[in-house]
Amino acid sequence: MALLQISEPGQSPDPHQRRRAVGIDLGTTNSLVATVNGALTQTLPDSSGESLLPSVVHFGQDRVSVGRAARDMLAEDSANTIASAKRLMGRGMADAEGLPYDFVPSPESGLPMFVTRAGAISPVQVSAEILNVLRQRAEESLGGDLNGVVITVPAYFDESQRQATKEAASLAGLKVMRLLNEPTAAAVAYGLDKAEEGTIAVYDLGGGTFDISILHLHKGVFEVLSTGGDSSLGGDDFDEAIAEWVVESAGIAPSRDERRQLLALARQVKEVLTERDSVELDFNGWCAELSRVQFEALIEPLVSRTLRSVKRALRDANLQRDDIDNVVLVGGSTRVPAVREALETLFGKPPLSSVDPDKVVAIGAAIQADILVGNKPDSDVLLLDVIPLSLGLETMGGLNEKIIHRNTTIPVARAQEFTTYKDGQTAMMIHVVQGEREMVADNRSLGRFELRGIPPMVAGAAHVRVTFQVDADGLLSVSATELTSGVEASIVVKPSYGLSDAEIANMIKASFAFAAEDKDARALREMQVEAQRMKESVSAALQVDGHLLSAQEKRDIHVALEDLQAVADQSDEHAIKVHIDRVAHLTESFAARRMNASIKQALAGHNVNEFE
Amino acid sequence: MFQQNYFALFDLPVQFSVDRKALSLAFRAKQSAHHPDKFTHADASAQRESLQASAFINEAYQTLSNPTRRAAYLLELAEGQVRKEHTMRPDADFLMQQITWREQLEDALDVEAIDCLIDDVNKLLPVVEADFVSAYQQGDFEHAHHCVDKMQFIYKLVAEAESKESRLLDE
Repeated sequence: MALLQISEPGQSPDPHQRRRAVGIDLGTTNSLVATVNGALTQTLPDSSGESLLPSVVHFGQDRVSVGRAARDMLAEDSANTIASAKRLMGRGMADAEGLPYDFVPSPESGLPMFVTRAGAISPVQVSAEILNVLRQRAEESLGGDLNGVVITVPAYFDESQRQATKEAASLAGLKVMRLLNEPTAAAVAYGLDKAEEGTIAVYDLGGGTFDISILHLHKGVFEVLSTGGDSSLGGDDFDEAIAEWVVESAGIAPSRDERRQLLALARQVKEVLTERDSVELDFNGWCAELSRVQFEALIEPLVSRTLRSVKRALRDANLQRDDIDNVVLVGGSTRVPAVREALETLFGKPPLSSVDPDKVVAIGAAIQADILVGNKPDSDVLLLDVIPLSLGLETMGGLNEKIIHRNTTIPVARAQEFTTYKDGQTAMMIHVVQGEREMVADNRSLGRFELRGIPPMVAGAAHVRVTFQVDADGLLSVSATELTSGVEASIVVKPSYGLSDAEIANMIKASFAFAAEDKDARALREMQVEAQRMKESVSAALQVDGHLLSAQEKRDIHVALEDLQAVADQSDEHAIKVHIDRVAHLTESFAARRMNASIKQALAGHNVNEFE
Repeated sequence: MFQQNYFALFDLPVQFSVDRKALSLAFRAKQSAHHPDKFTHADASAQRESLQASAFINEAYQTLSNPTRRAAYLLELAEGQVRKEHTMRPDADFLMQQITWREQLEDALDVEAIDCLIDDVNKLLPVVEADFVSAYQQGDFEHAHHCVDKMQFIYKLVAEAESKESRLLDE
């Protein structure tokens, strides 16, 4: 007889059965997938043994290709071959300007979409294609569906960019357990999270981007102290420098095709010079020798630029060079000896380089995925990340009132109370902002929503509590509640760049409030509720403090209340509003007198000096 | 757990001086038990609960780690739920001192001058903290609030001075 096996959802009944988890480095130039296999963490290769999947997607006549096959189409069919889509994740039309593609704004979100022969394709969809290939590769290699993945993102990625990354993953059918900061993943790959305490510089020089992050680790809590870099500086610029040298030395004016050949040659030269002191090169019959010393002189201005960013990041973190305990190298371009030597000179210690710099981020992500999926129940490693940018609200005068400051450990929930600034104000626009600057206009707008149905009160009497909640992935949801009436509204932040303010407001209103057809019914209902509230509160006040009014004033208010009662059950929203406003107007001075009276009462029996 | 005050949460005495090591250890232990990473396979309600608990623990830790916030929190506990709006008479001497420092910061043209100012301002911090502790212990909450304001001002000024310094270094 078979005994019934009972297990928690998602928990395996057999403790020895490993769950399938992978870490994914979704890069600008290349992407990788890695997994923990026993004591070994390794990247998973494709059928030809290649781990690196170029982050390029080609939309062909009848099929979509991803990776090297797609990259080979870049020159031939550039309009339908999308590279570096990561740069546009969660970004707006303005960010798409200058890129060599045609864009149209998405009809739903206004975000840029690539115009291809397969139709308009969003950067999220492009990333999903890449993730899909990695998912298939992992499933084949691990022999079944994945239980969960960890995907890495740059530390400076904001809300919208993180949200877009998660959307791409869910399009690709992946269950994301965590978005992990790339520098944190690199530090994990070196086991630096096991140290008691330390300060780590992660130097990430990829093909086209440079990032520097200063992390502080304290008992498993990773804090990003500062980030910096240059989004248009990378190993490709080293190739350019060599190509430029050839063009000048040979005195040639290469055609576009020749230029491409030349760059490919330059890349080989660069790679050979990592191992050797000099290299013979032959470009269409023009021969020369390039020594490593010459090469280093060519790229010196580029390396110096990265070092300036490093120094600035140190200053932002309030640190000196010798405060750094470890330097971690990420990105293929850190193989160039001149880069390593420059870092060793700067920090006075050799950078960590035992893990392949192309794979280190994916490997760190895999280690974390293995823990999160539950394969290491005894692990006491806990990575606590921080938010990279402050989150706040727009307040009067266009000021950014920060609710959660940058570098706050997540998850975090924080509430702040606001109030109305006009008498009888029944709605409040909540504008959520990300960034460090004082003025809202200088920061990023994440979204707006409206809290409606606040009962009319004198200015400053309503208590609107706005709560920000950031989950462990750094994703934000905002809710607002008026405390005396309990009315609520909330949003989850979604990418919304490139839209006008009005469009954003409309979009969010439409999405969180109600469907268009019952919009009017809802507004009427809200108005009726408001009328009821008004009647009750004024009647109650009359009962308690009626003596503060003259007989005429009392009569006027009574008449207005009766009129309000008469329209309240009808379905004319506008008429109800007019009568609510009339009652509010008539009772304005009554409210002021009541407040004065209650203050006098509170003061009675106290010596005035007590309050000075 | 959410009813506990932050000191009780971490098994610490309710007082201004904090054993940083004990705080940090207790924080780690609490997060290890409640962080969402430990609940990736639990049901939705357990995940939600873990998110709230973890956020609460973070808030408690950050409040107690920061001297100004810790001091303000002590006063909040001492004065109970109903917080009075404090329309206090400003400390005139300190107001003058603030103005002087602000002018010094504006006039400072090089890194050395700013460093000097930062040192000066920082020197005052332990004095203000000691003042807070004695006012708090004697139940003179109005004076204690003054001290919190001073601490806040000092931290803010130092931060501004440092950011000016880093602008100068960038030029």
